[in-house]
Amino acid sequence: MHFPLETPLSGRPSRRAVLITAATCESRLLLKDTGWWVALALMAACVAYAGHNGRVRLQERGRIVAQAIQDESRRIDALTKLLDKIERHEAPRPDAPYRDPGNAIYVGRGQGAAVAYLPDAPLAAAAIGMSDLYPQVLKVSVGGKDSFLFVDEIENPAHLLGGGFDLAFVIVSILPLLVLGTCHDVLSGERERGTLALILSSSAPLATVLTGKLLVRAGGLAAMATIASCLFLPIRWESAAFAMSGLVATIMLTSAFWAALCLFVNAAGRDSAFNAVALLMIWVVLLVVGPAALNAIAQVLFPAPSRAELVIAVREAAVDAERDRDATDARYRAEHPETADKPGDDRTARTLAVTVAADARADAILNDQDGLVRRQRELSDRLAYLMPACLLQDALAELAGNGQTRWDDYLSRVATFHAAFRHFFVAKANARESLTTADYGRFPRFDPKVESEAALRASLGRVVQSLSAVALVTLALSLAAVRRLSRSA
Amino acid sequence: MTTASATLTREGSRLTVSPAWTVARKEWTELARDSRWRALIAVTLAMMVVSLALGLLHLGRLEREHQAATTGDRWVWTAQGPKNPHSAAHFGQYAFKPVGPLAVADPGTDEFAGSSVYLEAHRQNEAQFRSARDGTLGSRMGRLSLAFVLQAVLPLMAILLGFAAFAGERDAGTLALQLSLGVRPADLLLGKALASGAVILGLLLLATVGVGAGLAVRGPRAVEAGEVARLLGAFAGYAIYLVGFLALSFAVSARASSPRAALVALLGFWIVNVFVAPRVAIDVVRRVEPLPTAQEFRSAIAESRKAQFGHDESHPAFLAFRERVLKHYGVSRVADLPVSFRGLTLREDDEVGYRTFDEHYGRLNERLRTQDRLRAAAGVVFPSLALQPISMAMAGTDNLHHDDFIRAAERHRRRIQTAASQDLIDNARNDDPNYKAAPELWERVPSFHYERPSAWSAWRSQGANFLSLSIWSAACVGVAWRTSSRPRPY
Repeated sequence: MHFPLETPLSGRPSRRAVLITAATCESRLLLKDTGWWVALALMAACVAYAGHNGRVRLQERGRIVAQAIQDESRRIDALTKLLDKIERHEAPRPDAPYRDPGNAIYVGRGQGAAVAYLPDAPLAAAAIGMSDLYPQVLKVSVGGKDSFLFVDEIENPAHLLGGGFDLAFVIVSILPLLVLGTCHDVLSGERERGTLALILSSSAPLATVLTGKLLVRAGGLAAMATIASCLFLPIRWESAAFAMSGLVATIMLTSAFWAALCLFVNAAGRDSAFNAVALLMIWVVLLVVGPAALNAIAQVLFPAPSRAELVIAVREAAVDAERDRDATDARYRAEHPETADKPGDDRTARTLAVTVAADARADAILNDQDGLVRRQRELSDRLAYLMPACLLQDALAELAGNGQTRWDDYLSRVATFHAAFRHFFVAKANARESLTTADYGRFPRFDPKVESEAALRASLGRVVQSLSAVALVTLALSLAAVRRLSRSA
Repeated sequence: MTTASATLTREGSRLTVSPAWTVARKEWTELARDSRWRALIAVTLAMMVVSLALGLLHLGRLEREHQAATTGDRWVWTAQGPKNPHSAAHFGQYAFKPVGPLAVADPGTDEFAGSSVYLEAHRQNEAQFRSARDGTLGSRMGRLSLAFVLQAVLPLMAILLGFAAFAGERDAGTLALQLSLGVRPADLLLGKALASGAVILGLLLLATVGVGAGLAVRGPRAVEAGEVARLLGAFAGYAIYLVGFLALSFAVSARASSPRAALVALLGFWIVNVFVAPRVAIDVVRRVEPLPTAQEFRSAIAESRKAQFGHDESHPAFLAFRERVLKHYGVSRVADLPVSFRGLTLREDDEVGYRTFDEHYGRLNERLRTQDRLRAAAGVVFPSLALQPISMAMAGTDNLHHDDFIRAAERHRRRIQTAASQDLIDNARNDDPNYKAAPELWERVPSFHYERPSAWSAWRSQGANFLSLSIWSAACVGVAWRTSSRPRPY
């Protein structure tokens, strides 16, 4: 390795010149290193495979949404046609209220349910995030939110437990291993080959030389991950500018963090074998043991709410509403004996009463339980600052639109829509009005494309916060490593 | 190491000490003196204790929730006033999945499978409420359970114990010295295996005893014979897995050019085995044996159910059934039937429905089982794929146990439907559309009670996985024996 010995002004080579020279020399060496090419190929292969998986998952999700929309339009068409026939007296109105396409409460609770879904973000294939656990489609009905929020997609539970091989997994878990593989001996290797003395004998600052070497090694892997992501990941380019910048930043930061860690460990002056083991142990702690421990702490302090409690509360509300209804009926019939034998549509009125009561109860309990879940998440978010890997994972999920922020915004829009949808049908039922074919055209429909600006800003803020925290840790590690190096030198 | 074999004389008697035993003692002494190993073992033990404590806390909370839910649902069911039995059947009951005691060690798929099933008229429902949905993204990166420590951390210890067994001695120049003194390579392998195995299997034994003790503290009922048999099954699976890892480490160490090369190769396998292979296997299996979407599945059931009459009195199947009933009772009008025709139609419709549900859910379950089998098939190469199902099955937290719960819930749903329809048949008059059963009927319909499958069925379901794991482990032992019999001295 040949470094410029001095510059005309200072008598010492400029750091920039040393950096460029070190990087150039390292590039030349790596060009002939089979291991380096294997690492690059492995990186590209992992990203390509993850990209392929992302494409398959997007196709599956698209199929689910298309089927739901098709089902919705089939249901509404069938009801409209039947109601049209009834209105034109070509068919009798069904005796059973639950079959009557004009019965607002039964239509709203069942066949008139509206489809709500969260469209894929431009970079959705990059990270599965929590999207495989959440239902791809919600069938919003007049019933309580509990009746549609927890209807899940069919999936093998063991597959949900294991997770998938997505780009986030490659960047957060595999890229660091490759960085460790190529950078663990950045200083110890020089010492073991006897070239460290040569570097030290030049006037080039050791830390700058090592930074140049790391730039090529870790930067090369990051560049390969970025290029492969652009080539193999299904991306909607027209609206992915921000997400792609974030993705590139995340890849670069991941590489930089692990490279800084390599420098820090190397600066301790131990041999390559020790460095390799120490760095792998750190990988195990940061990616396996640490996140598991943080998750355990969050779960112990703020356990997930019991959904069974929700079920029981809603059922109790239904029983209470039925009893109230019986009592009201009994009082009314006692006070108006002339109506005692007149048949009325008691079933519809009862269903309406139960629906309204159970829905109110479900809303109250769900709000409480959402509060518990939020508290657990807030604690988990704070603890994540202890584990850069968790922050990077979170940033990638947010960039892919499969993170918590976008889902929460979607649920909040669904809640607003549910209230409007319920109001439409309950108002009709309360007024004892039958639905008409014209009403069918006025059914509230969920607009999946309207995402709130606040949520987008919150998501952006979360990504920036996560990446800034990792950048700070990287900087601190680098400074500590340089300090160690200057002491040992 | 001083001699290949030692012959000691004590009070005139000759006591022969096996060379393997001597090697083992030397290795053990070195391990005991090494503060890094003491620290590593202490950290592992701490992880075991913490994960077990967390498991016990979680189990206690889930049991309390289950108890409260079961009691609450019973109250709600019996609190129904006078009501048409079919209305009550529509109101239905909930089946809440109880959690088994060994979930303290391996929570398995429980958080991802749903914890309750709504049992209502005319419809078999899937399990609801996957508690993992309420977790955080960080929770997808791993959960601190005893199974996690045993599956991921203990193999790592086995690797760290074994990677330098031969390569390290070679580097230090002591391997050639020992071989020159006449130490047989087999004795070296056996001695090192005895010392390392004592550490790894000792930790496994401590974990197993810890689980037993943890359960015993919760009460004698938690440590029934079935649980002991399950615990033994889990112990056997983990022991085979860890012995395989130890043997693999020795094998690689005996052939590797340096301890570093051995360590890199072994850690590479560990990472692929624990983190990469399970994910790749999932992706491959999802493509080879895809599941229907919920919409496809429900549409297929709805299509099949078109053959049923449900509440549609103009359906051809309804008319045919009415004819059959009238003929059976020898009357010409429904009003003349001695029993409630409505009750009969509900029972008939339910029974046809049961066959439809059995057919569709049976097919879905078969696909799930095929997925599980395919995923575990790679366990011959990547043992975690065979071990995970064994561990979950023994803990009662795998797909098969979940499926058993779903089936039990469905049987209970059918009992409720039958009881409701029978009450109508026996008590409702054909000219009384407003018949209501007395609340005593709700008391007579029992609550859902679930008994987990026996330990034997858990063992039986894991025969293939035990075989895969044993083949892998035996192959590793074989390779270790072969490679260490002719280790590279330099």
